[in-house]
Amino acid sequence: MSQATDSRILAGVALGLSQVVVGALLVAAGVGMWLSADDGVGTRRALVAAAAVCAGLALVAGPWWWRLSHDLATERRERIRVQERDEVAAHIHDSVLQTLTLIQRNCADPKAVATLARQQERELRTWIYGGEAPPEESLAAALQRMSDEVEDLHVVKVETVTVGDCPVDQRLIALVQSSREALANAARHSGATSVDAYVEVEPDRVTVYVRDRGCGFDPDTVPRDRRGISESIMRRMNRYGGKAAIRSTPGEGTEVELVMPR
Amino acid sequence: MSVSKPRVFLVDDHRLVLTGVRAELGDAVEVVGEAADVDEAVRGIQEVVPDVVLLDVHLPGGGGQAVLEAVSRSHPQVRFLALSVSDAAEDVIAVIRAGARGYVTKTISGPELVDAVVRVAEGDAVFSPRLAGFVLDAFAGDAPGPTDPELDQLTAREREVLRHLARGYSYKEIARQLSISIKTVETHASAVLRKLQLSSRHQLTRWASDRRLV
Repeated sequence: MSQATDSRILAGVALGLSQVVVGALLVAAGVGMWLSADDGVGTRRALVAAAAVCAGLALVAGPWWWRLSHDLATERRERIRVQERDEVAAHIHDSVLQTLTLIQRNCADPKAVATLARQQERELRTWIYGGEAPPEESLAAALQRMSDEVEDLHVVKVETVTVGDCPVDQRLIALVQSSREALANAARHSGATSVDAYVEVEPDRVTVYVRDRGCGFDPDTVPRDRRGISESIMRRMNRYGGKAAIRSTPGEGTEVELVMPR
Repeated sequence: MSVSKPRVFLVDDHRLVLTGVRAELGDAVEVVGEAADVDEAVRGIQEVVPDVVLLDVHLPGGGGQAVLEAVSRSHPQVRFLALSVSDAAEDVIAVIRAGARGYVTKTISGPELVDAVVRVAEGDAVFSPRLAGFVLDAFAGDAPGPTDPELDQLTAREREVLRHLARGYSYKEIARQLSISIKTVETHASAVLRKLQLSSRHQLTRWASDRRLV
C-alpha cells in the first residue's frame, strides 16, 4: 500500500471522527441550552438550540445515512442488471437456440432451413428494435397467436381452450412466453401429435395448463444442460411472482401448470 | 345395446370428411347410412333409426340444428353427437341446446371418436375440451335477474369436472384425479349438459352473441 493512500485513509478517518465529535458537541450544547431555556431568556435561545441539535444530528448520522442509501442504490442496480441478463438469456434460449436446434434437424432440407433462419431473423430484429408485443392485445388473442406459431414451427396440433379474457401486461407476456416454452417442450420431447392448452382467467390470477399424452419423463433425471424447463419456465414465472409446476408420469404424459397473479 | 355395435349415421356435406370419419370408426361401429344435407339427413335418419347420428354443425339447408329439430320430436331415442371443425361458440351451444349429447372436433383421434360414439349411444354426455371451455365461459359470473339455481348455476364439483375436461382429461383420468367413480363423473357431465340445454340464463345467449364479435 502506498504512502499516499495511507495518508488519504488517515485523513478520511480523522474527518469522520471530527464530524462525529463536532456533531455530538452541537447536540449536547443544543440540548443543554434547551434545558436551561425556561429560565426566561426566551424563544431565540430555544430556536438556536433546535438548530444546533439538527446540525449535530446531520453531522453524526449524515455520512451513515448517505452510505446506506448509496449501498441500496448499488444493490438495486445490480439486481436489475441480473434480472435483465436472465431475461435476455431466457429469450435467446426460446428463440435463437430453439431455431438452431431445428435447423440442425432439418439440415437436409435447404428450404426449411432458409424459412427457419428468415423467421428467426425477423423475430430477433423485432425484439431488438421493436420491443415486445403491443400491450393492448388481449390475452386470448396473444395465446392463440403463440399457439399458431408453435403449430407452424413444430409439426404438432395445439388445441387451445380459453375461459375468460383480459388485457395483456408485462406479467402476462411472461406467462404467454412460458406457455410457449411448455408447448414447444411437449412438441419436441413427448412424441405426442397433439397438445392441449387450457387457460382460465380469474379475477386474481391466470392459470395455464399444457398437457400432452406423450412419453412422459421422470423430472428428477432431466440433465442440467437442458435449460428449457428450469430457465425458461420456472425462473421466468418466479421472476414475475408466478409459479410453475410440472407433473409427468413416464408412459402417460406430462402436464405443466402455470399460475400468474394479476 | 352395449353388447352389439352401435348403429351410426353420418351427416356431413364434405365427402372427404365422411370417408375419413368412416375410416376412423373402422369396424368398432356399424355405419348404417350417410347424408350430405339437411333434407337427405332427416329422411335417412327417420328411415333407418340409428343409435347415434354424427352430425356436422355446418350443413347446407339450415345446419345441424335443423336436423336435430326435425328428428328429435318424432324419434327421441336417436342420439346426436355434434362433430365440427368450426369452433364458433354460438353454433356449438345452439346444437347442444337443440338436443345433441355432446360435441367433438374433427381433430379427434379414431379411438377417441369411437369412445365418444359408444358413450353417446349409452346416453352419456361427451365434452371435448373446447365444449367444456365454452360451458365454463357461459356459466361464469352470477346470472343476472331472477335465477333458478337448479339450472342457472354450476356446482363446485361440476365446475371442477369441466375444468379437467377442458384440460384434456378423460372421464377415467378425472375419476382417478378427484377420487370419485367414473359413474359419478358421468353423472356430473350429464347434469352440466342438462343445464346447458334447459337454462334460460340470459347470459348464455348474450355471451354467445358477444363471441360473434371476436
